Amino acid sequence: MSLEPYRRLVKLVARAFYDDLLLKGENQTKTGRGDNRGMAVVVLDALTKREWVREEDLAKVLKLHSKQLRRTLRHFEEEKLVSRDHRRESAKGGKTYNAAIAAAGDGQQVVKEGEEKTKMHTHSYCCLDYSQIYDVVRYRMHRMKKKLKDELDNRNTIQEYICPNCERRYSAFDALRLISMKDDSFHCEKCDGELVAESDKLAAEEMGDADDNARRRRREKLKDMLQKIEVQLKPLMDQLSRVKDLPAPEFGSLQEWEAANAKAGRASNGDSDVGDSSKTSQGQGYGGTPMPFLGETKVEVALSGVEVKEEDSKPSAANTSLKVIPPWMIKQGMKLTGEQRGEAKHESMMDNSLELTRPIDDKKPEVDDDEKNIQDAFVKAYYTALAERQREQEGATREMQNEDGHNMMPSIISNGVSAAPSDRRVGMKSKREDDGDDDIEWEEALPSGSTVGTTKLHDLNVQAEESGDDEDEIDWEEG
Amino acid sequence: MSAEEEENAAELKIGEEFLKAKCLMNCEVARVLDHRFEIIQQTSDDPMNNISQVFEKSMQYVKRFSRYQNPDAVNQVREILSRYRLAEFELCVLGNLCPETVEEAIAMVPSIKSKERAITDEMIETMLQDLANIKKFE
Amino acid sequence: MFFHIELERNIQLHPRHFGPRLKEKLKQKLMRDVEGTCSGRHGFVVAITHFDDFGKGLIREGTGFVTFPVRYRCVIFRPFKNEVLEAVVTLVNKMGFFAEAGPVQIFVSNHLIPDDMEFQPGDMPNYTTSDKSVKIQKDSEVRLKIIGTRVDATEIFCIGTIKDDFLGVINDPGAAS
Repeated sequence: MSLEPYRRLVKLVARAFYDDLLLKGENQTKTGRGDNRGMAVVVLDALTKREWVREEDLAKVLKLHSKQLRRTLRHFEEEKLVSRDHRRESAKGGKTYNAAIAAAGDGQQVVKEGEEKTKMHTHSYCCLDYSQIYDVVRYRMHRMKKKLKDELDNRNTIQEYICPNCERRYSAFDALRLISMKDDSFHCEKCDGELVAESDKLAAEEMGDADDNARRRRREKLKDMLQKIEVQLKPLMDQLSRVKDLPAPEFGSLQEWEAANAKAGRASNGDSDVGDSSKTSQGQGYGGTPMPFLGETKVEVALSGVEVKEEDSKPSAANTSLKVIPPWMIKQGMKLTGEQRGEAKHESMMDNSLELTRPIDDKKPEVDDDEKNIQDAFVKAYYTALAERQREQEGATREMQNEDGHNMMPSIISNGVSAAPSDRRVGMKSKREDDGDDDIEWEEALPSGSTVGTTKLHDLNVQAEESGDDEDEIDWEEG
Repeated sequence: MSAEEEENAAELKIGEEFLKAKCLMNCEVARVLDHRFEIIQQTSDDPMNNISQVFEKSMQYVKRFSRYQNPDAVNQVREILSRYRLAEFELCVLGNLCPETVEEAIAMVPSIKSKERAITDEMIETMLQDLANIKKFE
Repeated sequence: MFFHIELERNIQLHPRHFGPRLKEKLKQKLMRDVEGTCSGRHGFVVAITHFDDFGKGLIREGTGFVTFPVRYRCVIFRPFKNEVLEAVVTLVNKMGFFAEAGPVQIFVSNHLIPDDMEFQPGDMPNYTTSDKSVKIQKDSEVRLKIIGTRVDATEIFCIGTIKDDFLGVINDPGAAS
């Protein structure tokens, strides 16, 4: 499954076509709510990081009103970007989903309180339909260009007709079937209403004004528009052609997806902790924990060029590329992961802790294998100390991996958060005791472990809200 | 984006298959169909019942719009037009429509002036003149 | 445009036709199957002109029918977008007019008729210029440009325009005969 290029496609589409989407409720005429433009982009971006997701969960994560989100999603459903599913379910039904989401390694298992409800409730789920998105976007681009080109080429557009009664539309291609014996007009096949030629706005403008200047201006405008399409949508076109021969990610229907993930979850649950962590400690590190949501770790190279172009107008695209976070970035990154910590699952915590120690990890095998040689080669005193600390820390990490170690590990991470400068990583372990107290937030979160209080959740979201990108960052790191 | 959408006779985009295929001018089709119709008439008691509507309509059409009746003239037209290394399609459009001016010829067959082919207006002029002569002496 | 092209087709024949006149039977069957048909790719098959090759027959298991691959040459008619051709007007109404070029039907909607031509209803509905010098009515010959084609199972239908240079009436039926 080639998720990454498709995700990128969706992000580009979001920015190209839904950037200024303004959705108002039918009854919400007063604009008190204000401008929700840009929300569509945020929602689509968020969906690229998920498979099937319960809409109320998504609303919570995005800090959107569920009605608002639903309106947006309904629009995307109409636009054929999103599949949705609705079902009435009790707490039990919810469990299947929760199990699936847990197996899928979302790391954002938010809605625990859903289980407390015993009432039947209708829940809606949504998921991006990548293969359809590919088709829809291609068709859209095609139509855009065709419309302009047709007009530019010879002003010869295929006339369209509308039935004023039933609003059925016809084109000149249907002409033969529309002839009536009664009179000189075309008649609707369905209700026999007399069809009216739909004078295309563009064409009408032209027909009404035979003035040569107006015509020329019109042509120039069309040309300009066409050119703009070529230039401004080039990244999108490029991405479309890149994706062309790649199989689109398919998640199936909600039920299929749940079944598949639940199965996968059961299969891997037993050894996932040990297996995954051992994998990561072997230095595969970054994407060690398989997360179906995020696909396998892929390093995107070709895309970065395009990305730059997009970035100047869309800073939120900045985090889209999946890269190993360099040590000097860790400060910021860790902070974010830290925020996430409360709601993150156990495995992903591990991941992050390893992430944190990664720069050291890389060196570890050497140190272990031919410790002496290396030690000789470098400034002895410093590196001995360093190695010591590493071992110490490694020990700590192992400890955590072997036992559940909820208490230990997060505190290390919290240290990571506070111990921002890379130098201090080395001293992490020893620093822990000192810094531990400062991290009140963390300490609070610890007891709750995997079951996260809602209050906590709010805090996290408040912070995450500062910029939508934070979301991105979190996920990238996990993946 | 389908093949059909990209078709554009003005740019001679008619697909590889048709670009290579032999085109027939209306007068040539008339000869072929006439011949075929004779055979049908000889072998069948009810010839009109033995031909398709497509055949019948085509025959009526090519007879009505044949520019050259004489087979020799048709061959000469082909010979003249092929001097200019025209594509079969272009050749037949010109043969069918018999434009009278250079401007008209280019409007009918815009691909004739495509850049990679160095066909000048003077050449088109001569060509049209030659075609007119054939018609005159037919 | 008419083309002369070579095509191939598998013809199924019942065993009762096997005998000295097998080839004749194949030809007849092929002509019946193919002539007058229309496909999106090759357009209308007007007439088969040559039979180039009869391949070896293959017995269909279970039925006794035999399939023969046959290569043949035929005249086809295939309209193209932006092709200019001549056509005969068949029907005029206020929405535009219909015309025929051989087997293909073409519709020219009124917005693709020059603006100076106006629809005149009556027994012989027509489009006429204000100075009455040019008239389009049933049986007029027009030169038009195809701007779109639609293919369905048995038909190709075209949209045409006469709203461009060197297009329009080439003779009017009154003066023709």
